[in-house]
Amino acid sequence: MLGVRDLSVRIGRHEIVSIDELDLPAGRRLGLVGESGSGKTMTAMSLAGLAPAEARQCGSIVLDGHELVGLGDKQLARVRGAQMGVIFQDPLRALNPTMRIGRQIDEAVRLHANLSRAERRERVLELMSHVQLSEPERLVRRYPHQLSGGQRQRVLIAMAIASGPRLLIADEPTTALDVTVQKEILGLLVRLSEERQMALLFVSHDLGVVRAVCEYVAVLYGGRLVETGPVRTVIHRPRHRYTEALIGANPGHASADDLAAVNGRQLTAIPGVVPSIDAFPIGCRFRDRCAHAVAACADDPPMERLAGEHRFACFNPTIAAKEWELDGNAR
Amino acid sequence: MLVEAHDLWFRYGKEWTLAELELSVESSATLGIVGESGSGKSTLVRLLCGLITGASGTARYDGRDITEWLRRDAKQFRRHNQIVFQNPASSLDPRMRIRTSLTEPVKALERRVPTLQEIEQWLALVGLGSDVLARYPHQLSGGQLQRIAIARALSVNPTVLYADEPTSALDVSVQAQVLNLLMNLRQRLGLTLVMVSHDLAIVGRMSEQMIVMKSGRIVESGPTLNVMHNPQSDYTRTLIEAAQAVSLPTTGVYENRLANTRSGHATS
Repeated sequence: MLGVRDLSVRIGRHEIVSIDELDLPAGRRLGLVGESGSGKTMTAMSLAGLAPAEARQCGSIVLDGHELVGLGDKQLARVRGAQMGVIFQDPLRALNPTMRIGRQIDEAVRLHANLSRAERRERVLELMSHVQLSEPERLVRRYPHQLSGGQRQRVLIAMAIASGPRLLIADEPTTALDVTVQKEILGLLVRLSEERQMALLFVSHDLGVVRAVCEYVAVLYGGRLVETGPVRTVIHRPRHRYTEALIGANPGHASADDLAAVNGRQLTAIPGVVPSIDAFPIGCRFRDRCAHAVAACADDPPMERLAGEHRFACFNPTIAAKEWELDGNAR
Repeated sequence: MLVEAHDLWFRYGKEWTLAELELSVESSATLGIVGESGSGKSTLVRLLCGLITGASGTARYDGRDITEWLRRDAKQFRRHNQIVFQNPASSLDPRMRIRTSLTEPVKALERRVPTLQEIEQWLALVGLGSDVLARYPHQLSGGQLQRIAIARALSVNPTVLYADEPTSALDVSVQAQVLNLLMNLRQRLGLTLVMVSHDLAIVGRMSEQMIVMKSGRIVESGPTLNVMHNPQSDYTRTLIEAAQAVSLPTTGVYENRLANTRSGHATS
């Protein structure tokens, strides 16, 4: 459905996104994970054709048979409008504060379908019930500031699915929300993607959230794809040292028993910070923060392919995985 | 008990923001306060560290009423009670060099200018070098700024350090660095740490005791492991479930990998 090949996005002389290959089949969910500055939002925005004007793209992005790279703004808008919906992190900023909720959703409906006023009103209420907004007749008359954060995010989702898109891009949709509301919104996104066979590209800095929502994950660092595969494989058996480090830094616990073992104990932090785009080392971009860097890391690591669509680019991958491989070969 | 509250009530307007609060923190303990937005957790720590006043009921620090203490000797009280906020960029003056920002508490509370050697010691505590001193806040990363905010809070040798969502504005990797720093400092300096967070995973990991708040009331409190193992209130259970839905296996990275290795063999 969505296929990316040799995508490179440059601003000036800096390559800010570099992805050799990434696929998202129809109705599936892919998480883009990384720290701020890892290029995850730039990647998502490039795929949505929303990269800044000064960005130069080469390579190929194919959405449902349409090549997006090289399209002009108008053509891009036509493909994007019908096939793609986007929701952003901060729903308050994405909504017009001076317009009632009903009219904002109606605007999204009107853009994509030629319906009478009554039909559109019907459609707005229907969309609102799809995203589980209760009492839609009352809510349409409200302004954004009169809604809770969770309700606003639901309104944005309703607007994004108004055109019946094949692909929904969600950029950190729950970071501003409370945990219980987060759980509801994540559940809603999964349900919508399953019911409507809508692919979901989910951008997050939180591997735990991605694990809860997505079937596939792509880990980015310094704008490069470093590891990708089915989410369970990548999280339980990461190969790239950056993925391993991200998992270690996560304070989340799976069970109360786990918690007893870690309470009061140090987390495995990643030293240093993500450098600015012009300050990444040559070769593996993670090597100056990596505890396992070897001499070879000064070169660009090639993507290695494992079974089950699992791929990674690391010269000194995790030891446990190596043992597993050796062990497997011995048998 | 170092910090105590009995039947504490507080309101900004008509509605009670805090109601019937009972709380006690032992010296050198770590207390985590969890709750969703609007639960009153930030208001509570602001009251306890003397940033807002006007509560009814009793709030005591080291056996003395906090309001009383603030009226008689505010400086002494503030030397003992320091706070670090969520957004380090907005808690540092953008027009002040880091060095000036860092020296403010000692100037205000001890009426003297700290020596460069002292300032360097504070920076060393939080793992920064003296190269940051001449910088302005916008020239530093979020993690560095939060370290500076911590160093500044520690410059007056406080007994209690309050931290209000100290890592919510940071990336996971930087969050881990800052949480580790707080745990280290607490041990080295014997600090009492009271940490507010919406993230149950962080509180579960960092604190010995925890409090769960909802709509200005404490719905559950006790040793962290007891509360997490055996939550008594439905609300705590809801919070734990919501947090677990997005958790990763932590201790388990290695063991889980082994477990998967076995299933890997079975399928290959």
